[in-house]
Amino acid sequence: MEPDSCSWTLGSVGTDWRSASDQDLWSHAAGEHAGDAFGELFERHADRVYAHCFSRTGSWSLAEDLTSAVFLEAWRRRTEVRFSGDSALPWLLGVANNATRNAQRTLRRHSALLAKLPPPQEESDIATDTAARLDQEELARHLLCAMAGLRQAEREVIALCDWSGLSYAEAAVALGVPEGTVRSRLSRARQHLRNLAAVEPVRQVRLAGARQA
Amino acid sequence: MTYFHAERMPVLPARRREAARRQLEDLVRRSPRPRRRVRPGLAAAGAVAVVLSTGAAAVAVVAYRPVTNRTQARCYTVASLPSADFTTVLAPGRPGSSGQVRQAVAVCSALFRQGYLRLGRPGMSRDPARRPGRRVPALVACTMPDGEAAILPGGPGACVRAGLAVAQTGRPPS
Repeated sequence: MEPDSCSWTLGSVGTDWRSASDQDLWSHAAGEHAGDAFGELFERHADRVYAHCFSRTGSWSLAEDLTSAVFLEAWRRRTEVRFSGDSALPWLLGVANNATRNAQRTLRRHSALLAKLPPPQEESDIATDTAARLDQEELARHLLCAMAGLRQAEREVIALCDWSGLSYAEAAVALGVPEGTVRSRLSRARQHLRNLAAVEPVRQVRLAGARQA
Repeated sequence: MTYFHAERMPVLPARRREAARRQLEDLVRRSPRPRRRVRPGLAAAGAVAVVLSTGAAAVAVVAYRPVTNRTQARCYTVASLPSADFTTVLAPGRPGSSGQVRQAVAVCSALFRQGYLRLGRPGMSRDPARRPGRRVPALVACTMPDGEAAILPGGPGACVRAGLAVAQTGRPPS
């Protein structure tokens, strides 16, 4: 090594996936290390996708299968990805919306691969975890029931903004519509929901990792 | 009233998560890479586009920016960004030394020379000792948006094409 360079040490060897942005990872999906890059994307966003699928179905076990299916779909449609800033999460939640809307068709498409995974909820034998799951499932079903009278588009915008905590701009990416459309659609959906059900305003409903819309 | 409690929201079970990730990685690895097919009719247009873009690069304004994060730098083996293929080198101590950017270029050069880094190839070579004395490509120090130095193969134009500023090392560029 050259003089003066002896104080430098090797910080990381190979490819530093964790510090790479979603856009970097996606750009590698077509390259030599596509598997590792897509695996890192899965690790990064699986929990949020899982929570979103649960909020749309009210079933943890179905959400587990759908989470896998969402990433398989994302890989299949990888050339259509849209980023919000550097994040692929909004687009992934948009894919999740489509997957839950056509859950049976989506699961059927990937049934061969899903059959090779461990059965859902194998690890939910811890009492507190089980209680939390049942509690959340009951609440989700209650809310899904209340939302049954909404239009599909209204349900989707509420799930993205009020449950999964996306901003208007991020929801616009997920839905593929202008930001203004998200604002007006969400406003109408909230009002519609208030009229339909005698429940607290939907804006108070929050899922894991959600932030203010 | 809150319907869902973030702190009580279960995460994807670990075994399922691991299996799903492995399956996804296998599927992606086995998928054929897309081939780039150039139709003859488009080849001429492509050549014109290359000439035009080269011309545009020639008149592009080169921005200079000092490196402010002097504790680490990135060595890239490809000049096209964004790329996750880089090796981070750390420089503990002596923060603020004006020579550190030049040192970063020297360290990356040494990694190329010793065969750890290879032009156009991602990651680090695992058997550098077998082929020592490799050719070192021309390297240029650029400044990342966060102030970290990024050492790219190529000249100052490589920084511009990567959307980065050229690293300002000591005296202002003439």
